[in-house]
Amino acid sequence: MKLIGRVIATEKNPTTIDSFTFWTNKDVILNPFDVVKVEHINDSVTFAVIEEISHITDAASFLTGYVSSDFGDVNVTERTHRVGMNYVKANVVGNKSNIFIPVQNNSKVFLASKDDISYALGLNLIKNPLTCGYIEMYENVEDQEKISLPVPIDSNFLIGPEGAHLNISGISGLAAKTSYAMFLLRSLQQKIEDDEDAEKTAYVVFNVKGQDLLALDVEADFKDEEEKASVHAQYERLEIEPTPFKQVTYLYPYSTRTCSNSYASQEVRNRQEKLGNAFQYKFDYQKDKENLDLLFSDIDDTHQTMDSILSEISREDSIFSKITTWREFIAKLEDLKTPGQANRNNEITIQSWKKFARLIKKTIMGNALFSSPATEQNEVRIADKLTKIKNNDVYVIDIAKLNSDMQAFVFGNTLRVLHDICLGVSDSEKDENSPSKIVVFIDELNKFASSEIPKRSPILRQILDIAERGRSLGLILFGAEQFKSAIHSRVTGNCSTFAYGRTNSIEVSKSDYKYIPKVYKNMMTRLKPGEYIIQNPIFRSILNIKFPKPVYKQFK
Amino acid sequence: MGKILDLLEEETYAKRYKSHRFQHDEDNTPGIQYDEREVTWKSHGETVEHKHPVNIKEKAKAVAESPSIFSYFLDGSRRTYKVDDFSYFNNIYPIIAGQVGVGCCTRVNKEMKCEHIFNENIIVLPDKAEKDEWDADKSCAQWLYKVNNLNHTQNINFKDILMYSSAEDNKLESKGIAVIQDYMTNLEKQLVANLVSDQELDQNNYLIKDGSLEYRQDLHQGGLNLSDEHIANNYKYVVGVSKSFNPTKCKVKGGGSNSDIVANLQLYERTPAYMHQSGTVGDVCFVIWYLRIQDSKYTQNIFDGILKVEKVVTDPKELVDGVDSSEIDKISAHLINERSPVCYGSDARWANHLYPVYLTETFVKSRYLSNNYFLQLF
Repeated sequence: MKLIGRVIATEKNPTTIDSFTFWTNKDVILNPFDVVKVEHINDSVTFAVIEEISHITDAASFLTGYVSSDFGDVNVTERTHRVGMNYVKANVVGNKSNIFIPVQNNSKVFLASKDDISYALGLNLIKNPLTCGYIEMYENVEDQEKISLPVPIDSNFLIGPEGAHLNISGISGLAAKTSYAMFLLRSLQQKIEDDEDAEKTAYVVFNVKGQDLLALDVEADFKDEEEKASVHAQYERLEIEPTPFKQVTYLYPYSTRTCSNSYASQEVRNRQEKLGNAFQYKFDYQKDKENLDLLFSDIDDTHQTMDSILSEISREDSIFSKITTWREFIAKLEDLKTPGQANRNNEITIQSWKKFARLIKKTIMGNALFSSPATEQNEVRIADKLTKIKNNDVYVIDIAKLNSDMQAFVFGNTLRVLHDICLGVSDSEKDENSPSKIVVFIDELNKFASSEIPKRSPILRQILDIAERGRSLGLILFGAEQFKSAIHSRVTGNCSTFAYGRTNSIEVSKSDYKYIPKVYKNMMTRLKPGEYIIQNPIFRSILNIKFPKPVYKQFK
Repeated sequence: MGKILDLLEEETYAKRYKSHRFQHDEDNTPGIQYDEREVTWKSHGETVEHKHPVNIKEKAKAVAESPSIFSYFLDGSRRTYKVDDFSYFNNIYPIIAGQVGVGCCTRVNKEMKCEHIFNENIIVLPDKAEKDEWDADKSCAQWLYKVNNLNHTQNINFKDILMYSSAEDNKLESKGIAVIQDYMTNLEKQLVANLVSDQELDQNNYLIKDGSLEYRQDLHQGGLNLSDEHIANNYKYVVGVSKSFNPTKCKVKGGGSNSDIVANLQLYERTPAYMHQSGTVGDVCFVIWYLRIQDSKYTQNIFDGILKVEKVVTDPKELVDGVDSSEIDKISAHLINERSPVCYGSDARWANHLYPVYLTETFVKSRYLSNNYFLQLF
């Protein structure tokens, strides 16, 4: 392999067990995350990942440069290039003979081969491999071919049982968070399709923006045949079939003739209606009244008045027990607002009932989503549909056009249903094809699990429950948001995998990033769409990976 | 420890005094170097008889974008140490050791590369160490063999064991150092001879030698002396450039010092070139001129920023008519263009340093063993 430099150990900058510095010529183009190998004692080889590259000359100060230009003449041409070199800080990731004493001064530093890189990063030892992207190295090194290799992640560390939950962060648009989440889900779907022994898994994704995820089972429109061939070739190299998702079911919020609750175009809806994989969801009073608390997720209920009212409503012998429709429910609330109502629970003040009625009416009254579903017209309850979920099924729940209260309600409701399915307490139709794991993807997780959301918020509690217990239940959360620092620390703290897309410098200055080396943090502000920095306990170092363009249809 | 000295003590029947070991000073400070030697310049050394300094600015500008005529850079340096005192015949004599480095770098596409490097360690004993004065070389060779076969010096080779004269006409320690200095200049001359024999030097590929070309005459058999015509011819494309010189001792023909002319040089001006016949070298003539490459307003001393340039006169015609002024202007113009970059901040003599020569010097010095390590070998 190509010799690119030698290790330097000085009094002030010694080599250590963890890291060392080596020099290279000015024209050797390396990048952070590139792997290098170093000759070590007993004929062993140490591998390291480049962290930082600096350039120095023998100029003692900035003033030397100024003086060298005839004291400020910008036109002076130097006869001799000032002596300079690049020095590279690299972090040790392993040694072939498990020798971890520091590498010795003047040891030779080489570029690594494909196999070396795989060994160095521990990629060759990964069990239950699931492709999470690919890495590229040495792109601009002279006389050296670019190395590209797929990066497998141990699926046990992504979707349990060893580790679970994924957090994707990055600026909207530039980070391509949804595309990356979909790439991982597609990779998972492929793995489960190919591997009979793989644990049965199903996926529930929320469409939160436009028609983003409303054509997951439709082939992508490429610019031209050339682009199509190139993207397909990338997928094939990663051993993923370049086809869109299979077994997709779409759940749209119920729309009336006059009021549409979805951004889905008529063309999209017509196609899905033909295939019979689209349904409209509604909420039935009798079955969904238990989830009314989700409408109060951002209300600071310090005295737990709303909680008391909700308990009153759910109580079997309460005045609400005979109610069967949302309309009757609103009417009853109106009654209770009136002073002198005999049936009212005396522990709850009339003001509380008034507040409750106001909040409930704001969302429910006149909302077509709150009515009993007509199954013959493809109307369903989300819960009823999800209880029938099977292995490798993808359910897309559209909430893009709903207001934020309703989005929270639908999301929270779905999480509860999935939680119950995984816990085995729902009336799900279990058979040998039922999934043992369900992966939920939600973009804009900050809306529901922000660190600023009131602690008693029922949705936050639900998410925390999944983050902390989901791994053992088989309910896995793939969350995405612009800024990881905005997410509740108990949610991020329980994620085993982090994918950092392009972000801004304010974000990387937050304490959440303090354990990431400065150079990598700065790189995060320059990542291109399709590039991620991945952190997972199974990797010996954080990795800079790329992933190909989606093969499902995206709407511009 | 002390194995080399123990061995030499035993071999030369000396008595060791285990004196303090130390390195002699290396003088790298800027300022006027007062040389005691007085030099008289014979006459004009160039074809045009300039009465006043010549401004080379425009000529330097004209060649600024064309390739430099300087391709090779040579520098020699030595570090000397007093390692002990030995007693012979009831007299005490210092034992001197030295590290000598002579390097030549070449410049290709503005980048410096090593062309050749000598790094040699030597020991200098008083001539009293050898009782049989006709057999000194043979004894030195035997001692050298034994020194190099000591266990603790296996990775470090001594190149030679030399002797200094113990005749009491000068300070003994200085004599020992002078032996090492001569050894270094011989290596320099050898390196120039190698470049010439490899046909590396020509009118487009000059060599700049750091310091004066005025070498002491080597009286040893086979010594490379500039007084030999074929050795002098090696220096046709060699320019000696000195950072430090003594202007007060340079007398112009007819009396008086030229230090005033040198001190008053304006930026990019050179003095007229003078012919000078050296007494120390033998019958060798040099043309010498001074050139200001850095403005005195930025320097600490009026003589900082001025280079003393020397060239050996090899052509008999030049001895009569002087060296062609256009060649002196050409060399001066290219030297002016070597003024950038500078080693400001790294070396106090930045205004007098030519950067490629500075790099060559740095390279040569980087190959030295550390002082402590070297002294511990003894």
